[in-house]
Amino acid sequence: MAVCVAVIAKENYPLYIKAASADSELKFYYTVHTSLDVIEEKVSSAGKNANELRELYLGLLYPTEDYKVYGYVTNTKIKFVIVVESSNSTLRDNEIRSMFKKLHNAYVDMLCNPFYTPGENITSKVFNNTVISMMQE
Amino acid sequence: METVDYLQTVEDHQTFLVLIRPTGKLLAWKHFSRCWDRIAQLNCVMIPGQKREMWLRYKRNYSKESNEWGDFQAHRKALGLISVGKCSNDVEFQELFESYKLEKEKYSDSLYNSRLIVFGMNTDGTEISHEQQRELNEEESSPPTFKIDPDEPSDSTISSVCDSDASVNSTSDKSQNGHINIDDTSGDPLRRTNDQNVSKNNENASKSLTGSNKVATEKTGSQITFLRPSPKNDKVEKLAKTEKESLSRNSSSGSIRDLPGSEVVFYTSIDNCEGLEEGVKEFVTSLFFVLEGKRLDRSFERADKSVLLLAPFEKKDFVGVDTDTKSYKKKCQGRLKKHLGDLCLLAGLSGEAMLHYSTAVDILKPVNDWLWMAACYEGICASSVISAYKGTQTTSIRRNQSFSVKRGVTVPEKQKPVSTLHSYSNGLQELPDLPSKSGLNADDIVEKYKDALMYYSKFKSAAVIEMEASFKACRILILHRKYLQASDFLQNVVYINLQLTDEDRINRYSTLSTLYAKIGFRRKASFFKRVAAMQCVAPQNPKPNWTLCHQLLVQALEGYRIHLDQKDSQVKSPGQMNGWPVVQMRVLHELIYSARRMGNMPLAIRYMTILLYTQLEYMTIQEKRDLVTNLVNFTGQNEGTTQPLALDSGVIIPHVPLLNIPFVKSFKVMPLTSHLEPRKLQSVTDTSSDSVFIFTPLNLGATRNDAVQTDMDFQWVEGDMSEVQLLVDNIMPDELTISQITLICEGIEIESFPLSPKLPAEASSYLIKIIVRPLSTGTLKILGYSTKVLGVRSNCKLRDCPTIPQTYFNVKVIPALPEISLTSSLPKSASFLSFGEEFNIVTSAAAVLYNGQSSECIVTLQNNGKLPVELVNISLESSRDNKEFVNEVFKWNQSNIESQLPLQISGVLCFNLVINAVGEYLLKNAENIKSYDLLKSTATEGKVVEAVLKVEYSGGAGLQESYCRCSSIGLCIDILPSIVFHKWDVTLSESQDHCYLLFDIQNISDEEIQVKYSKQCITLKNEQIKRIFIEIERCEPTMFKGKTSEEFSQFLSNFVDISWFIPSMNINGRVGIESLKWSQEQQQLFYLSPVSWVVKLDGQVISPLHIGSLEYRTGKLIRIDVDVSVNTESLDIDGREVVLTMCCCQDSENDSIIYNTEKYVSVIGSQSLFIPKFSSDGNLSHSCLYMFLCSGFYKFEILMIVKGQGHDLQSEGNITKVKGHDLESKGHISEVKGHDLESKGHITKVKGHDLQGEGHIAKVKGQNQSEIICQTSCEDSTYKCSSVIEVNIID
Repeated sequence: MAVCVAVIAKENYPLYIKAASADSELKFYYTVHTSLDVIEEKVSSAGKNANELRELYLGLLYPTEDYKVYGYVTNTKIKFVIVVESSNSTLRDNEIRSMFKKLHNAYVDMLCNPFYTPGENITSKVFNNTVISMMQE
Repeated sequence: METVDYLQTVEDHQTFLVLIRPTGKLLAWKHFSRCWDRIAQLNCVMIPGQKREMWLRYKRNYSKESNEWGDFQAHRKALGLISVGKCSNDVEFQELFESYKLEKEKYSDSLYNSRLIVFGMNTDGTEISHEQQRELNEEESSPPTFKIDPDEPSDSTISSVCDSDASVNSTSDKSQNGHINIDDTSGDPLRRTNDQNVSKNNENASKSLTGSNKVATEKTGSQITFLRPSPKNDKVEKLAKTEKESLSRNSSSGSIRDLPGSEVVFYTSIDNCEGLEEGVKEFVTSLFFVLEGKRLDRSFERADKSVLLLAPFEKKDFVGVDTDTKSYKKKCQGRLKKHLGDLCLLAGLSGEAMLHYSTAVDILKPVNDWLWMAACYEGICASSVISAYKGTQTTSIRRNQSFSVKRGVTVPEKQKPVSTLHSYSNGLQELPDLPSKSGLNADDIVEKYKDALMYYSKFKSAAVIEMEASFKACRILILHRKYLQASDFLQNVVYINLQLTDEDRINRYSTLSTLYAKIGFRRKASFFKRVAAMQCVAPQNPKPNWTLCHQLLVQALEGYRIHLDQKDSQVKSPGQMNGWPVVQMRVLHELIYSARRMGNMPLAIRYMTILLYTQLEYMTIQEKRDLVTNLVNFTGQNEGTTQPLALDSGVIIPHVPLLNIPFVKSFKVMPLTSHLEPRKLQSVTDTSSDSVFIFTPLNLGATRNDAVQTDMDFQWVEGDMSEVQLLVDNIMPDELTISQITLICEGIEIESFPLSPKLPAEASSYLIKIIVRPLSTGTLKILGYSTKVLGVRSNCKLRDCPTIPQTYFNVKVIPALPEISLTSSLPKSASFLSFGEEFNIVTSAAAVLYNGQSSECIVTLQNNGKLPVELVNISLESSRDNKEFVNEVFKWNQSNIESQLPLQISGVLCFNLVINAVGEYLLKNAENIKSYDLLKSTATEGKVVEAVLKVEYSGGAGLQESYCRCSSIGLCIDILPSIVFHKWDVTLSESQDHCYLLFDIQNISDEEIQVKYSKQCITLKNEQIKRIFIEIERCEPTMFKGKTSEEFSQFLSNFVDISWFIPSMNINGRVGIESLKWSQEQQQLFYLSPVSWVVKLDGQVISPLHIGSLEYRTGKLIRIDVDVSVNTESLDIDGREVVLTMCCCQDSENDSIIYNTEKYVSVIGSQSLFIPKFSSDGNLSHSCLYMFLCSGFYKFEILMIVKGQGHDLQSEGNITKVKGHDLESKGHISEVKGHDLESKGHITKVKGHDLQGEGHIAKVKGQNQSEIICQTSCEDSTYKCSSVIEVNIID
């Protein structure tokens, strides 16, 4: 039941961003964009004790009035951001985790496409469908 | 209306709040701000004898409502008031004092003490005399010399400058900076308008003033005269009460006037008030002691006198509440304890304060006094923070440092922290891990603040406090580098619902943004900056402030990775991913809009340019179109500039060249067209030989590839149009009109011819040629190009173009050269040519000639340039292997050309080019072909001659630099076959002096040809062969100097003149016989023989042309008499051995001659005559008789052999060569024998000579009565009688 899903490149530009409704898209752009600050902070603070394996899931980045923003960073520093509505109480941490897992798998599948150059915008239909399914759950 | 102090920090809990107010109407703002600046430096005062410090915070205005919170938190209370005013006489002073009273009244609840600082009077309060006034005026009118001198304060602790007001909020920050700067300029009416905040302050002040005017006058009416020049009499009772303590101290200081405790201080002017700081220090010290008194006053501890301290909004809640309850008492007690804590904190006793707070919490907890508990928690945090950093003096310094780093203000050395801890990029110092004595650690502080905020949030009216607490907490956590928690507190601020003015809202967002920036959350910071900007111009805002909006937006750019200076961006070429295009576009659009609303069109255009440059890649077609339309509209109103634009905030927005519209793919500096390209005149010294290095085609090393060639290997010519070619792409969806495109050059002056090409939509590789004309000589450095597209001028430097490796191009410009046009009278050739471009061919000429024909062609040089032509060199170029031939074909007269020089401007020079169709007159199957015939096809097919007539010319300054130009005419001559020779020979004629040349000629042209020779004329039809005879005089052999047969042919051709004429075409030509080859015998025939024979057969003289045989019977004696006369002039025979021999032979008519005839012929007498020494008269005669035994045809051969001078018998070479001429022992006799009978070899040899003449000899044998000189290599010469002496012997 995500309302917005975003994939962000290592260099922090968007590879893919999808909002549930088109009219609120710009708002989510801002939300996701600003959430990068928190992600960076979390990643850099976690990076200090480098030996232990970092968990990919970053948890809740920050809550806003209406939404909760969750983050996930792959080992190649690709960032996933999922925005859910605050009112949706059925989503617990575990559900969010599994959503990220699913998103990560879809991303890896998409990346396996030899015609995709890493760093390009993601246009894969399969990936898109996965994201849409996550929003409609 | 309560106002939020967005800048509050935890440390503010320990500061005295002192108001500094401009009072009266006479004080210029400039003076006040100077005064403010000086006082505001004094933020920490060491209390004498107390080892304690008091910290100070100054405010220019402070709302009454805020002041009411003073009971809740003591640092919110305005404890001191310094009014600054100006007056020049007593009347004015009275007015001023009145205002001062009003001010004081306003804050009377909280004030401990107050001061009025008056400028414009003598320090004793008297009026300044006119003379002094004048001096002062002069001083003022002279450039102000006021400088803040940090060394001035005597107390060293004061030196720590705290700019508590130097805000986190950069807007006010800037205004303050502005003031400091502006102070140096005299008379600045702008300032007031510049700083809206300030003017607003003044308004507020004046409003409050008028509002309370009435009351104040009533109250203080009687006190006006009080402080007149003799103010000894009495004092305001009210003040006296509160100031008793300080009075005694004030009296001890001499800086104030004679009245002890006087609250008025006079200075003559702002420039002349050295004691100001001292006075203020005095004043604040008095505040401290009032406070200290209050702190030590324990009277309230008695339960019966307990007072309930109240927050402002609580007042109505406690109306009518039972004051006797236990909880009420507890509240009183707890709140008092808390207040005591505040006082301790102010007094510099943080440890004590903490104790009080803790106690207060314990008391208040059971009674659920949430608000005050929250205040206690906050107090605990504050005191622990303050105590943690106490002594290190780092609190304010650290803040200071962070600001000064940001603002670029140099920090005095002593302010630098002693600690060697490394600093962070945001200017913060790492905190020393102090052992928290009594204080809390960071996590505890977070907890405590969280609790406090939670409690505050229960009260809607405490929203201001809650917000300030959040900011304070955030600031502490930033110091502790707990950024995530800090961000939580900031997040909380957003939720606090507070009725705020728009200005406050903007401030709030700005503060949030600044704090986020400190956390390192740049994107958040930018987000809130942008929100703040939007707030400025919110639709419900009645007075949208576009300037501020724009200013804030500019500050927001960084977080969105939008760079106003494209050099800052790491991305070198547009289109590379950097940041979030959608968001970036949005912000840029907002910037454009705000700039437009500000009325700053150049700025709007500049932003649009940036948008166009950076975001074009990500735009939809519609967006592109819209943007372009807008841009064109804008530029239609206001032409864009290429100058950097400076914002009010000092940000410089440099020029952004539109490198991508159009996108230049390649930039090529073109040489002049090849016929105009200057080249060095061929000098004598060959440059290639200068170098010891020889050319190698191997490309050794990769370094050559790396080096980008910037220097062009050609030259441009002054005053000549030169060209640069650009290949451009149009990535716009519509046709793009480049209204102007020129080059950016430096070095020498050029004349530009701007183009305005139109690029079709989405065109790729469109060619644009930029024309320039260099106006002087030197090196032209091409740096880039400048365009005007969509009304925007762009100076595109090559170094910014990613596709062009060169950062500049250097072209050498040489002095002016003349220019000619070259034409020929011949028609241009249709197809041309095997020559490459290096020949600069400007025109061509073609002709069709028959072999042997000659033609002329007029070559015209017209001077089209602006300089006379002083030098013309003409040469022929052709492919390497037929140079010689080409030079025969084309001829001209160089001296004729030179006589026509110099060629003036628009003058014409003509010369004739003679074209000789020199061809081949032999068929291909002929054996002897001259050397250059290799190139030629057979004579029957004709051939094509191609050559280039190269004209090098120069003049003027260019010639002095030894440059020239080169134009060429491509010549193409078709040579058609005309006449060929099949066979040729030489025969003797009747006359000794003449001989005949015989030629079999064939017409191989398609036309009928008349051949003229020796005044005769024959007509040859197509393919017809005819023989012609040409009688020529024989000549002395000495006339021919050459040796080879080619030379002989050449020589011979001088005697022969054969020409042809084609009547149908009315053309004629000459037939050359140079290519014919003549055999040795034929050559000999051509010469006059030195030996003349008279042969008599039975007394009958046989003429050389005699044909036929004489008949005799067998057995008849036939006598042969030979008389030889030698022309001694031509043949030096004197004293040499001579042998004369005869022999009879039979010619079997099949080219074999039988010499062995002794069976049929008997010889009577000697056949040979040997003369050891030839007599000088040159005559010789011999006779011999023959008797033929058998019938048949016989011939006689008569030879004369002249032995060579240096006759060497031993020479072996001779033996072999001469063969039959046996030299061994028998000498000439035997040789003669050989001639007779035995040595056939000799005969054979001679005969061999005969046979060597080609087959045609047989044909003309009948006339072949020639003399042959057989010259052996040992200089023996053999002369043969050429007459045919034939006898027919019949039975």
